[in-house]
Amino acid sequence: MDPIIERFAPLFSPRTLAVVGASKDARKWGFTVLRNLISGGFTGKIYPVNPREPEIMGLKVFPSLAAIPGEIDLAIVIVPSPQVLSVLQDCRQRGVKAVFIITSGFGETGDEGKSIEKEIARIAEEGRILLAGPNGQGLVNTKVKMYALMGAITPEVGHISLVSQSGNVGGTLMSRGTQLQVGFQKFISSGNEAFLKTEDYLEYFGADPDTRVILAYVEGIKDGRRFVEVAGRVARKKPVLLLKGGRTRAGNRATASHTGSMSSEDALLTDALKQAGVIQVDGMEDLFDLGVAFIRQPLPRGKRAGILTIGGGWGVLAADAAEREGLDVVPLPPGVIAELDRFLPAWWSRVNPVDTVAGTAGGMLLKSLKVLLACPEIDGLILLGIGHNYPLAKKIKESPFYPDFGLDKIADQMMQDDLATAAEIVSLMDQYQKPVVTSSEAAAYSRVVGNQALQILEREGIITYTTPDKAARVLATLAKRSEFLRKRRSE
Amino acid sequence: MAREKEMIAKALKQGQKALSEYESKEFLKSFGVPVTKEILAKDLKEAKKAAGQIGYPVVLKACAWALMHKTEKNLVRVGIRDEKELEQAFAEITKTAGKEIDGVLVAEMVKGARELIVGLTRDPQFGPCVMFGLGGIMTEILKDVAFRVAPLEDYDAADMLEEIKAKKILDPFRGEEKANREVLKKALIAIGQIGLDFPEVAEIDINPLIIRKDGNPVAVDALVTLKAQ
Repeated sequence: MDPIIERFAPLFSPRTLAVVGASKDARKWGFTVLRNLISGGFTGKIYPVNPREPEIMGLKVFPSLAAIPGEIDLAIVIVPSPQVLSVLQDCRQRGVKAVFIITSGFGETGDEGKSIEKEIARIAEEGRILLAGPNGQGLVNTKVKMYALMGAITPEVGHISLVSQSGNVGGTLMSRGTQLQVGFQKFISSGNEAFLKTEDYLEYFGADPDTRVILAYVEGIKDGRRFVEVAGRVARKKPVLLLKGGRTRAGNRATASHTGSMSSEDALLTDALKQAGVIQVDGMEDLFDLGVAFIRQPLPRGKRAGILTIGGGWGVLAADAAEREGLDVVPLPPGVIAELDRFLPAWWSRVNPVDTVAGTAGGMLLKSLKVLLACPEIDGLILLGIGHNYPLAKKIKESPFYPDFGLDKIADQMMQDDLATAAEIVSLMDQYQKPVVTSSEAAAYSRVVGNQALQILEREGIITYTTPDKAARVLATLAKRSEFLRKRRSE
Repeated sequence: MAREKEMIAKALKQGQKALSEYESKEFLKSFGVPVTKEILAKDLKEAKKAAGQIGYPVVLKACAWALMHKTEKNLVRVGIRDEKELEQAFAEITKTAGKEIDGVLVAEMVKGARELIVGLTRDPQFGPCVMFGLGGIMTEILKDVAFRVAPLEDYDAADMLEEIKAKKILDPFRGEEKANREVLKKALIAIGQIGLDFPEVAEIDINPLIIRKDGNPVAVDALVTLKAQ
């Protein structure tokens, strides 16, 4: 087995897990974390540890770590901060392999806390304990249904792994995933990083065969040189997207008291990340939206973008955004124009963006999509308006005149068109090995109407973005990644 | 590298906190960074001879490691066209500078409209980092620079040239040839390697690095600051 995978197995894939500081008091974290673990359906064994309780939530409670039979892979520590060091000593004596300290009140509070953190790191080092935290909100491995978290967040199994120096940023991203049917593989709220650091988790996620995309939220980096060295190695294998908090002076003040580490100079960090091939993003939404695209989209061979739209304004905005993001909105070759002339209305745009001007009727969107994907001068596509007819058809069906005036046939046809196009996008992507990034006004209210066309794409791991700008940024990000890999491989 | 190590050791031993401009350029030149044609003259006679060898017009600069901001101290004369002008400039500079100089640097007058900056900085987080960007008097106002953590690969150096907003000045510009990117890249890589190999070099500032009309870059001013280990 890969030594990195082996090293991290007790932390992320424990067979046995002790909750030190488990509580019967539902107002305490020692209760909440245990409850989340149990209700998440953890596949390993859970040993609650509390000297005063015989049983909590139906589980036998152990008075101490020493009283637990057999090996303990992971101990989650949720005791008051003055007890943390002695619990850690117990873990060491007991031969616990990995420890996650949820307890806060260390480096983030001042110098005294910082020196306790050093002591924590020393014990971990000497006791060969893989130690995460302190002051972290917990960790997740969906594969073994381990939801050892303070928050009741239960993402589905997916291909994204996330390390976050803020628990609530991590929670936000996973919740967005739940909303859009995007699963996660592993998550860790790395807290103050007294021992294990963000770059250690990056290295692990890089080696983890179940992880395909890596996201990171970072406020402070303790060893920048090591960070970029590790991140650079990982980024050659898998896309790494990073959001840096505390880039401004105001944000920086907030982080200095937050995770207890000072932020490094922004310009230098930005360039060092670029050098490492890490994709730096500007916000939580982009971290998720751009990251997800790498799961299913093939990488484009270049940056020549085709834009296909059912309406003018969306196409214009997409073209503007595409240029801004560094894509080339290339002219259409005469052959492509001739082919589109065969079935599009005479007044179609005849340029890129291709505006079908006729909505999606008669499968024209799908036919146009095929023509553009087949064009060797186009590397990737932005498709605008997918799922547009579905909600309209639904409205027609709910109208008082339905099914008179032949509305039943019209509505059915509209729905069919959308569903058929959605269903074929993925196979077309695979066939041509070109990305198709979708964006549609229908995405803004897809939950309300239960838009099945967009759901078909979501089930395939493709998000339909709510703005053309976002679709352009996603395609540009894929193209930049492709360029990065090309450059590094040609060396 | 032994010669360069010795050069630095000698400077440190003499209590220097930096190499003089002349020494800085000699140092950089040995790593393949192109520098101006120049000669350190001890007296007027040597200066005249140097100017004759280099060819007018020339530039005169007082040279000593402690003179890190020569222009502000009025110790630079540019565009000296003949011996007569040289005599006057030499007299003025030596008078203003006083005794504590190594000599007067007689340098070619470089023609070229494009001024760049190349540097080495040591960051507490990232260690030695190379900087490249728009040079000259606007450097600090526009802050159009790119950084890379040393060591640099060829593609890192290439990316730096592409990354600055003013990257078009590396293309053909107002009748001047496109910049020699290979030489630029090699210089950036070399600066990064110096950062790794010479912990006693604190920082390097090459500003301006001028692109000659034929596209070849040349370090017109350079400063290597030192720190005792």
